[in-house]
Amino acid sequence: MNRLSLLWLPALSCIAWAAAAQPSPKPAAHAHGQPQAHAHGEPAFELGAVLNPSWQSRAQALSHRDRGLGLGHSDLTLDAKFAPWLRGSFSAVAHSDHHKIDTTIEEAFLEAPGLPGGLQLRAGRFLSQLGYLNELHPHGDDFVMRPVLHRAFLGGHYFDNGLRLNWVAPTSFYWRVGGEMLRGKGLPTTPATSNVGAWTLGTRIGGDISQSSSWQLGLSTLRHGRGATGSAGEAHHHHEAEEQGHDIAAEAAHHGHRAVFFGRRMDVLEGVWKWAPGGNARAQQFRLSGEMARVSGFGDAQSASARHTAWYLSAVYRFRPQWEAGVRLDRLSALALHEEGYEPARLEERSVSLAWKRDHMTTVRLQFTAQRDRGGFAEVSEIKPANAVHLQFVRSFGAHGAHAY
Amino acid sequence: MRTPTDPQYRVRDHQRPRRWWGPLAVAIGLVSFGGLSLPAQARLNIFTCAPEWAALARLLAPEAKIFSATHARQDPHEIEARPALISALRRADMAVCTGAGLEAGWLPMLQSRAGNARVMTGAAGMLLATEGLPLLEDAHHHASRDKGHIHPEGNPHIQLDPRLLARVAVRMADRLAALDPGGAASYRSRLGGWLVEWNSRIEAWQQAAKPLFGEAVIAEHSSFAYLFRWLEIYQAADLEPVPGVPPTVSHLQALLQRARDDPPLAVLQALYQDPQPGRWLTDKLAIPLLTLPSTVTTDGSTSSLEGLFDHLIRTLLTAHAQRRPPR
Repeated sequence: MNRLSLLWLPALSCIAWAAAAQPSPKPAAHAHGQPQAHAHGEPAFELGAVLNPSWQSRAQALSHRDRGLGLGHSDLTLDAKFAPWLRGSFSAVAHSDHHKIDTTIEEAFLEAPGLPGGLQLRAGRFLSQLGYLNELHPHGDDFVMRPVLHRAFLGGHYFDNGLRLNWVAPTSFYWRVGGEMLRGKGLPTTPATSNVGAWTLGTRIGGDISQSSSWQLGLSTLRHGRGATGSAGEAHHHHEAEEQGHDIAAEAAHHGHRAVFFGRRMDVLEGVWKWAPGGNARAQQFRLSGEMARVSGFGDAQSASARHTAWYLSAVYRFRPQWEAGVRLDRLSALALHEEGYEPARLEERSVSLAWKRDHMTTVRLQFTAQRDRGGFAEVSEIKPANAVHLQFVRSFGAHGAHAY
Repeated sequence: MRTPTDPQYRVRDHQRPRRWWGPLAVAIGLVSFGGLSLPAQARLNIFTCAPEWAALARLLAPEAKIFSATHARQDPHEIEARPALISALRRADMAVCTGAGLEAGWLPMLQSRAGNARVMTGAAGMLLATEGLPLLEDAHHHASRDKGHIHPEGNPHIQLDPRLLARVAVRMADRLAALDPGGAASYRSRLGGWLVEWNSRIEAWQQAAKPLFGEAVIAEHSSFAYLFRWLEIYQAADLEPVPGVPPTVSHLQALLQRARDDPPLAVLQALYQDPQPGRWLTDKLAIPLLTLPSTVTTDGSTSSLEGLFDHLIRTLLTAHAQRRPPR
């Protein structure tokens, strides 16, 4: 038993303590309002699924999507509410990766979202709250693929086993401070037979500027016990993964969750600004979002200034209730390991997309993504930078959780 | 060439995290200290999901700090879980929402992000207005809203039946009294006073609206269904082909065919709905398009509950009085 799994013990005792400390949710006895039917005791379950097939004209760098038809991030989700103070979520995900369908459990956690003092505790497997997009489910994204930043540094999106503690401040603006202790294996880096450990720390603020516009800013950092050598060797990771049998690193590597450029430290700055005339986002909305990340602490022959950096800026305009058009610019500037040392590898990606959202359940998206090697990237990537047309169909069934900002 | 065992390498690795921790710890400390040292507030902080519940709360607890998450020009189904709403819910002692799935697309996200045990669903501080009320059957919310399959709860737009508002007010006063026993007597006496006045208004509105009895209208969505039931008006058709899906050309054409021989009194739309489809249909049918608030507004004559019903009934009566004689 290792150090990190011992953390489960205090987590569970906290949850048990919260259960005991919770005041009876029933209003005073003289209240003659109807007692809330589903409020007491009975757990409530909601089952939902997302099917996300897509087609693309060719394979692109830093993407596990194949040429032709493929299955994007599709999931089956069970949300459970055990009590007002305790909820859980489970989601199994399937997607195609190099002409195979892979499945994995992406989320399986228990959460006490309303502990005293604005504290929130989560334990289990979950999507890390590093940066803006990572903690959101990909089927709600505005583009077919996650930004280059996420694909290059986090293998698409990063989930792991661990604990999360958040605090929401009782301030007039939104302010969240949170930390996570993770197993560190969701990020396949160097061969790791023991849990290397990772943690994140982040804060996020936000509010309204006027009735029509709102904003959010965040800063977060991820520390990992062991950084990879900054190479884009995808095959290399696959090979390692196979040697490790069925641990999570292997699973992750098989499922396209490969961090291609990774270090011991990653810092992310995120920002979102949204505008809707009169605040009626249903009719029209403009969304501007971006993230900027810096990865450091990789290799052992580097000066302190060795960095991978990436950023993206996305602008999406809902010009009619069912129609959205978007553009995104992505940049990656990394250092790739060659025999003679580190060399820059730079990639630029530009995407335009048009989406028709019939209702909450159905989205059809047409996207064009152009990749350009801005120096040294083609030499280190198995799949060369290329231009591709994507056609995506996202269909939800049953219940799916409310969307985050 | 440095290696992981190189002392310089280690120094870098161990010192960096500290730069982060220091200022952050100080900042958290300052804010939590600030928060704790504020004088205990006697004023209740009430978060409401819709303006009609804020209006009721103002009647019962005028001294409370009341925040409405939405306004009449927003589609109540389609609200974003914005940071400002999370922080407002975080500070709330009590929340009043509609329930029955209306806020399913955003309230659970606010609750899970706000970390406020007082307003979790099922806690004493969360009042769901539709709970325990007989709701109209609603194919809309059943068939296609994302939560519909799981909780076929009925039409949640209850605020346009003044009799149901009175029942919600009774429960709200009870809940306020339970949360703030010191103010219980005043919540009850304000409720009593308001109910007397409100019931006499209901009588008067019913009298005034008698000419509307049995009239047919077309409306968008089921936003006005409770008003129609109360005044015994008949909603002949819905501008939305499928609930939650904006009007389509083919659906409007079909409506035009059906309504041509016997045009309804008017087409009703809520302030937040796109007026174009309704305008197209009313032009073809030569009937009025009535763009009406479906809840109390931020300002103007409809900023109070009685002003809202006065306006709705007056507008419908005007349309009735000005109706062209049948061809």
